[in-house]
Amino acid sequence: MRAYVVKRLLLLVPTLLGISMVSFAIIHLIPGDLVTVLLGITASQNEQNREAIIQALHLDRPLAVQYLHWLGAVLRGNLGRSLVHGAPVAQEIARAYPVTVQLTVMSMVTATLLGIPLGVFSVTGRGRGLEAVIRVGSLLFISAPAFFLGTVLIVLGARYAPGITTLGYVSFFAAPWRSIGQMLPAALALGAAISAILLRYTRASMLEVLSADYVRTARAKGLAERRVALRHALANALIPVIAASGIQFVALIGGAVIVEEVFALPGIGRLVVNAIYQRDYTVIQGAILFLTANAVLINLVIDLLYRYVDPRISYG
Amino acid sequence: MARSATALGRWPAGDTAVRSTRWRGLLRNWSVSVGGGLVVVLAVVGLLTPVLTVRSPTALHPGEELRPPTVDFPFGTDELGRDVASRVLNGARTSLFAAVSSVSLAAATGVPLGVAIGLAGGLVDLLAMRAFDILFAFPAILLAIAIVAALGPSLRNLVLTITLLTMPQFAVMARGVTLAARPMDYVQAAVALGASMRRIAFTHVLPNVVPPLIVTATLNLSIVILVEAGLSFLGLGTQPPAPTLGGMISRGRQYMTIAPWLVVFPGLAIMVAVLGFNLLGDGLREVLDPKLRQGGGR
Amino acid sequence: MNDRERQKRVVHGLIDRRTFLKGAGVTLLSLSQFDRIALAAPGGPPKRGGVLVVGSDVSPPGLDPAKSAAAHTWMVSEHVYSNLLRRSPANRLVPDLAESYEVSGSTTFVFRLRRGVQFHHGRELTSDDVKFTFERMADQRTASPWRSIWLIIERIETPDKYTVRFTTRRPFAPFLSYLGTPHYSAIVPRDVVEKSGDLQQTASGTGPFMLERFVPENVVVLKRNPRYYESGLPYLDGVEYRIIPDEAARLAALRTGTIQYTWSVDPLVDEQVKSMPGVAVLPPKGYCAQHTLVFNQTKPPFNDVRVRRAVSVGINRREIIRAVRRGKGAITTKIPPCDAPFGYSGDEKGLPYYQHNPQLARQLLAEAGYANGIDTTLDVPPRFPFTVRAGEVMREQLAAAGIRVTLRQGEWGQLLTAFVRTTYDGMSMIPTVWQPDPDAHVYDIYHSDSAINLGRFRDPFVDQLLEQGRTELDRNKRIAIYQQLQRHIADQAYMLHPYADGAVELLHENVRGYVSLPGAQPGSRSRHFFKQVWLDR
Repeated sequence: MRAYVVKRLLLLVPTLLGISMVSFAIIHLIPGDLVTVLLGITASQNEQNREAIIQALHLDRPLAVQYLHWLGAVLRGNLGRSLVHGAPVAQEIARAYPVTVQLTVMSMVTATLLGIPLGVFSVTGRGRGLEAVIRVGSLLFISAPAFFLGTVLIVLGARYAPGITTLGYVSFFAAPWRSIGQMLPAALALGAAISAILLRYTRASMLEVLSADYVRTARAKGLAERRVALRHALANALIPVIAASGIQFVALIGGAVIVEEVFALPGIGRLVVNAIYQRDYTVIQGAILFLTANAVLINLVIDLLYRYVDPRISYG
Repeated sequence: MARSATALGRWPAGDTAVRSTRWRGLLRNWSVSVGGGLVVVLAVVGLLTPVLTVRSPTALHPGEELRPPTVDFPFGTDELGRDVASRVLNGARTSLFAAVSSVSLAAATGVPLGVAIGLAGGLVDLLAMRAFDILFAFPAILLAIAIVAALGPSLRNLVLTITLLTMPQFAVMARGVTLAARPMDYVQAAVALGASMRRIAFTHVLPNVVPPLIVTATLNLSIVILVEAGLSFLGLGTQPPAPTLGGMISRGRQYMTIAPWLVVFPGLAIMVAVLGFNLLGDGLREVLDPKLRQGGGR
Repeated sequence: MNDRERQKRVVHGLIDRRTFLKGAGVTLLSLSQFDRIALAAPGGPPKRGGVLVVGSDVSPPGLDPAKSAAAHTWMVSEHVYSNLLRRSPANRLVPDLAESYEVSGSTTFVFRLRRGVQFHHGRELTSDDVKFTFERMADQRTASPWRSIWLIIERIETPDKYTVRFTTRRPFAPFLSYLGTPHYSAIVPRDVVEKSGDLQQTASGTGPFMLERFVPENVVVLKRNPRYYESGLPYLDGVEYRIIPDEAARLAALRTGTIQYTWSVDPLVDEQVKSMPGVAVLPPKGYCAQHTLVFNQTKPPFNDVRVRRAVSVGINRREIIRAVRRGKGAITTKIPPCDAPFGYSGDEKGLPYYQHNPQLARQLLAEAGYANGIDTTLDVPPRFPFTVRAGEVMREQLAAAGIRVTLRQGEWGQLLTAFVRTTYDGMSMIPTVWQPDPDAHVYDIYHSDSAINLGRFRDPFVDQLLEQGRTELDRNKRIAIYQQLQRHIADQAYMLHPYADGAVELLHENVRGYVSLPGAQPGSRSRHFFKQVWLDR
């Protein structure tokens, strides 16, 4: 067990190195030039202006040198400063990350509360109209793009419940209840689609477990179908659902950018996307490094959890 | 979108002998018939779009801007006076084309790669899996933005981007099936008889990949339509004035309160497509997965 | 013409005589009272207190007015900093931090500063801060976007604490205009800049509001400056900018009262807010924001003037304005109608190749050797949805004239770079910004020797007119020069300006005393008078 964790942690180093190199290359391959974006049309024309910025930001050095320069600083624990406004990158990440984590956690809770019970019902209610209703209903959730669902929530909310604030961000630590309440519509918009995914995993997993021998034994003993489903099947069926939730969690942290934009949440997705648009190379690099490390670590934790609840899996 | 190399690919190795009986169950499964029916309808509409649409999806009708649905314009007109019905049909065609071509490309590249990795095993397998871990850890939407920004937004680049994003899933899935098939008696026998790796791959492993492949592919088709919608929202979808469903929703969303038909009709089209692909995928999974088939008890 | 006469002309040319005398002789307080009376809105005398919440679409990339070329920086910094001159609500240049000034000769400007003006951190403003402000922008290490403008200054002298003397290298007609435009010349404190390096994350100015908090992508909080030099102002306790990128969400926030002021470039916004109780719509006071379409003239077909003219008559400007802007726009040249009489006043009159004429377009193409028409590209930025829509409409119009256009969307940074460097394939179109002076509008993008000559055309006659316009100090002569220049550009179709428009402002009815100047881009994002705003609660 410990050897496994150590091995995975050691693998983190080449993984992060690889990602930082790949992202550095990709970012600098995007055409478009920081100086023009920064100065605007009229001012970027002046060669001395251009030179000043290029020198100030060391953009005149070869890419490899820029990369090593950046890497050296990162190894000393310094992610550098934004090329656009000069704020430390670490500070920007520290500001944006809690927003996204809160949104992700709230979306996952919403998705779990909706998805797992409905998934169970869709199995226990098999053959009845309920199954079809739940499955088609959940697919409607999947088929609505999150930005559309979000807009509907905001527009309807403003019209029919004007007292409820749906936009912007208040820190959880400053005002926990207000923070949760304000983020709830965004969590719903994101959680809806994920609840449908979890529903499907729960359903598939339940069906698989229900066909297993011990469940058949229980059934043969004459236990009621609902009892079989809940008592014997659910616990085992949830194991792959945990894995699926973990995957969704990781995907959300980097992928919530559209909902962050619609609901005006200053999260890490918007941080990176705006940095890409402004060619703020240090912010992109730092944030992607952070997000990747974050994803790898969360995946590791999920794997360990998974192995803990399902002892049949060996440590590879 | 499922995004972890470790958690994917938990597909059972099918027993080739029962394959023929699976197909018979297909049409009796309501998800398959409803989902399949919707997909067939979509395909027919997509193919017939040039015949079905009287007006060009890009033609402007001055003075007819933002008309609600009428006999003349069954789905109304948009803010530039274009026929929404024609745009929905053409948009659905484009979105479906993007979905089908990127999923086919991803499967066509990912599956052979996964089988090869699975058969090679050892160091190759370890390195490949770590490489996939990198791809999975990279935030997908950011990767998409970076790629589209680098190559420029177009239908072709959209397809390439989504292919790159989904290919690893197919590879990991195929690798899982291959690993599961390796210890099977018939594979071991083939190895003992000195069959070449290529032969083993084609005759013994690939048939097992087909059922999970169909399922993964149908599920991904609906995801691709939504990814395209997301990229359109960020202005990185296909090129105007050619319509896509996601692009129409992202644009019409602003006028939801004054011209709801701008989002309702493309929204319905997305729902039909996603519903069709998902039902088909779920149904196929139930029918083709031997464990579920027994448990299904129908 | 002797120097004295020239000086008078400067005064008469750029600043209304009465305003000038007031600024020079009478105390400034009386002047601002004059402006306030002119503004007085119904609703009784102004009430003190309350916070105005503004819904903004983009977060300022930083707050330093000397370092950021982003309009969203200026929106905030114009309330935090002051300039030597400013524009009154009646859009005249009047003294601000300067109590009075004199122009001697055509290159020397002497400003007498208001006494006792305090920076937000509690130190008095002196002539040294003014000198520092301009030397900082001219310093290469600052990398200021405005550097090339201020290189015109040969030297700055400070004979005493309250006197600043500028000497320019040559006569420069737009000088005072730049001094009265907030983002080009906001006066910053030497000590704060030297301590913190720049003013991107921190701020201390002499303006009516002080920076309290800046959380990027979330909120900018300003609070009332109790020591502001116009006594009694501002009425508000503070101004808060909430960053809400999505327009549908911003309108929802306006409906609920989460925000009390925002703007929109969408002509359909009127209909969207019609059902909102207590929300007023302020139409733009002038069309100042124009679109610029450029041709790659380094290669065929657009190196041929006939092909460019074919595009110019192939598009139907009036129809674009009707379809895309619902009629809320005007015909324009690079100098927009709101700056008339320097530009043209919103119609085709006097401008060659402005009338829609598809037959003429086909004929011009045939003369140029393209009897079967041409295939070309038009790049448009999805960041500006109305530019894309204009492109979509133009594509259909040009198809009828034998010009088959493929629209290409590009990510903004990429598209802007290609636009500036002429590396796009056929044509490219973006919204371009309002500038404080006709010279600033056209000099750099027209001049043969400029690195950002848009489209890479060379025309000695254009260069000659540009130099005349820059150094001529007589207003009427300048008007004639710039009109001739615009007519020549239209005739040669070096670049096209399909239409000019402006943003609509939306505010709650309890927001009183609000005034904005036409001009900033797009519409009125900047140069609004929050210090005179009060909330009727």
